[in-house]
Amino acid sequence: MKKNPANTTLRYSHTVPARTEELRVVREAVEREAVRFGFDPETAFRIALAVDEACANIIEHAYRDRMDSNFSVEIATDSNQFVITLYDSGTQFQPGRLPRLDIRQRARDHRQGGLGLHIINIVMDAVDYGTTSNSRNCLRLVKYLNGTH
Amino acid sequence: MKDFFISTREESPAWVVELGGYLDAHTAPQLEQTFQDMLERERYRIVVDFNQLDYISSAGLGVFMAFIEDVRENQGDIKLAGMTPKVFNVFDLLGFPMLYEIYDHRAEALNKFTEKVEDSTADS
Repeated sequence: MKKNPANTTLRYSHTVPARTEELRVVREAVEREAVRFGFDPETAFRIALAVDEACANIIEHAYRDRMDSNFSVEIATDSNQFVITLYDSGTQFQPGRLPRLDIRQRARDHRQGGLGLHIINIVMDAVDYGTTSNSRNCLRLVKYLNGTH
Repeated sequence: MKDFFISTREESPAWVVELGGYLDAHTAPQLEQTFQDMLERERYRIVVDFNQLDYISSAGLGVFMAFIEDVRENQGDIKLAGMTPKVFNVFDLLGFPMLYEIYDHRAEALNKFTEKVEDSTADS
């Protein structure tokens, strides 16, 4: 494992073809690393689920299923933070305020999409959208081992 | 983890959809197609058996969300059964137990449909 600035350790770095069949590989890696870092199996499973949702959004919305594209997944940790960062070059996501989840209304409206964002926000302690210096989209997902910053 | 599989069969008075493996953005379109086919054939009493399903993401949950109103408008229901704790955890995260009947075993879900059929026969 390589030491990064600010006392973080890069535990995993992988470039992933933007295809939904790759989701399984990513979530298995995230779950494995989360358990190694010290999360209980249920929390590790939830973190992998949140990352799965974020990757699926990149594939289906940022790249609109353009299968020749790819995105990057990095996992870095310090003593208390488990940080997953996703980089892509697709259409930028404009985060707004996430409305309250009303599943009865969604069912009445036959609304199928958008649930992944709720899962990401429920599971992760911090979610930050940004842009890198080379204009790539960057989504940073943080989970604290001890529940607080 | 197994690949995804789906099968349907009639267990009167309902249709059972058995799911196995992983249900995510890659495999959810297969489930969507299955529900579309069931509705086209006017099969509105549906029990989904999750007994062999290892994983579900929001893409899978979204399919249930998309069809539940159409099914209920036709006096049917989608009842869910046999979830592992992991899979139930995902449904529970978004409050789905408010919207769906969830049973430990598919026989219980099928019995609910049987009771309803008997009630409606007694009423007529």
